[in-house]
Amino acid sequence: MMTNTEVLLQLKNLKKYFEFNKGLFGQNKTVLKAVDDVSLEIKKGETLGLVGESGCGKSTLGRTIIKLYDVTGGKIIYDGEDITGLNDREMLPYRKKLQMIFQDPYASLNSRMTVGDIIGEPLDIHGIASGSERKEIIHDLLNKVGLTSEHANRYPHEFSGGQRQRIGIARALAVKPDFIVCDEPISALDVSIQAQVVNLLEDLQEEMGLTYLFIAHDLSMVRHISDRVGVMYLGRLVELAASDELYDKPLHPYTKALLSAVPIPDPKLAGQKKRIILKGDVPSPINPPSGCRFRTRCRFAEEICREAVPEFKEAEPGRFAACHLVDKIN
Amino acid sequence: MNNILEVKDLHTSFFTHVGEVKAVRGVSFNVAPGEAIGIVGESGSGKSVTSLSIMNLLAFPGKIVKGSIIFDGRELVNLPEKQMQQIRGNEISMIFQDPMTSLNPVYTIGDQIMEPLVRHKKLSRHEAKKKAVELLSMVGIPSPEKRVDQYPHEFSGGMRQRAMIAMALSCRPKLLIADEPTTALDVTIQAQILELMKDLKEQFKTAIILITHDLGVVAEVCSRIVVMYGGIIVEEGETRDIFYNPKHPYTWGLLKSIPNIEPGSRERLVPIEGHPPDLLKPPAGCPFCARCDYAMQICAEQQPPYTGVSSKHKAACWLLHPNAPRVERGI
Repeated sequence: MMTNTEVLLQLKNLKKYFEFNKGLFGQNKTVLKAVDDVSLEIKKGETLGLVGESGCGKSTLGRTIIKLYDVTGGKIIYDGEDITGLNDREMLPYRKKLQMIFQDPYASLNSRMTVGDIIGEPLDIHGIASGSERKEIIHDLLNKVGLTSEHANRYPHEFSGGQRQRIGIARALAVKPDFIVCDEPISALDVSIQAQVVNLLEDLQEEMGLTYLFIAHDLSMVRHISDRVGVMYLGRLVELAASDELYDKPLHPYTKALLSAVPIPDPKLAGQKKRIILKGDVPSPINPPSGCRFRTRCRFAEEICREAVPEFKEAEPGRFAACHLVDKIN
Repeated sequence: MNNILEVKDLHTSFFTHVGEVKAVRGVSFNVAPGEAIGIVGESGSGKSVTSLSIMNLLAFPGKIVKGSIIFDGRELVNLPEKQMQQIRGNEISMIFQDPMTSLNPVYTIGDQIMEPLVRHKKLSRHEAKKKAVELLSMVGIPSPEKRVDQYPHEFSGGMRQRAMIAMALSCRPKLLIADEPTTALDVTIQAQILELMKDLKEQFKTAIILITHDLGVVAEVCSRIVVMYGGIIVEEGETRDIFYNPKHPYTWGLLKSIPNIEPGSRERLVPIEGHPPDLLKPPAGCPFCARCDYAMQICAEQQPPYTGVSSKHKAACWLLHPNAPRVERGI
């Protein structure tokens, strides 16, 4: 829930390109623009949702923010400090503040470590606690995420998907972070378990004043948890608005299509809904369309969409969209 | 109307080294021609094992212990493999969850679509290829003449799933089993696939069994829903019954744990606490008993019988017994 208007994290024209070599001896350099020119602000205590199809760069953006990837261009400003150019050693204090919860609870826990050691590892690395104090902190964390202290001596394979995700959350909380990137934390879980994990994340936010970047492709869950939602397409942010406004009246044609595609769990409404079916797949980010990247699948595309890249600007108060025709089609 | 598929009292177990895992424990349901039914339930509820049993694709140590599966008048349980091969891919076909691992990476998409056509419909390779191109364009793959000679790795996730559907439909099956066909896909691609399935149902009168845990998908495609939990069917009814008049506490829980779509609602989600039962030692009573808010003494002791709510709607819950306390569905 939004309680503060202070900006915690600011991205300015953030870019992350991947280069790879093609051809014999790799003479031909190819550039994949995974995140291209993304600017946004995340306020203290807020949950910003990030949605988009696979390959749109939402996970890359999350990973770039906590600097698991080197930044290609632009700036990441955390709590007033520019952390873009920091090396690993200088970054270490910020690693305590910026944490991440990963998508796959089966792959993100080391199967050879006990749960206690998994949660205790960040404590060791940052020299926060050792001995009995370490043990106590681990037990507290386990209780906090709804597990018990007996679980500390067990191995990840003894836990179900939902429980593993709780372990991942406990690990992220070990260093008392301010900001957590949740990269599809519930996608791999059953519906009934998803709600458990979402409730846990909401409780922890309230209790510890956490700020979340919540990346997901389940649009209804993103709406539920987020204060504001950003929509990405092919490496660019195309729309950003308060979540209710975005879901009630999307401005960008891509957001419209994306939202209309969500199946409604209500047979009466499901029959009435008009669906915008997007033709084809997302174009390759190696060779994206000129101008507006969505124009190849857009119902409204005009000449200008081919020629110029639309600016990401405030279309209505507090609502941002990158579309040339935003006034015309709404 | 004659049913295309009748499953009666199906029991399927896996005989592992730690004991018998009773994955499916007495499941019965029917599917009419041209009908789409949804099987809903969480991982481990037995929904996928049910579909593998119908396809006779259970791998060791899985085995159908008891029950009968009648497809189009023929008993499929214990049918010799030779005869099953005549049916599989021809009259019943299946779409799997993960299109990446269910396509063969060393054959072209065309080869894989042609295989059932050559085998079952005895087409020549030339005719089969023409048909494969037709099928690819039917499922909405652009430039199918070019795509037919490509390999699975050259296709995106959504396109692979559509290629799988093309393959499953190549022989115009009477029954299509789709096991979480859209779980791995984006909503935009999911919408395309669901439209395609709806068209098929209407155009070719294909019966569809859609296995999923996404209630939104079911609401859209299916006319009837079977809710499974702990290896049994806990509730079965028309889609409207299940959504608007559910009777089983597990169904209530499922419906409550999805976020409300009403604007402005940030109500807290109501999860189902606890975990599904261990089917190595299935509970004597109702499998949902341990997680149920309304559990009574009898729930732990005896499996509840089915109580009919209407002619097409039934649920297995002791709360429906005339002597049980009346419980309001807490939504």
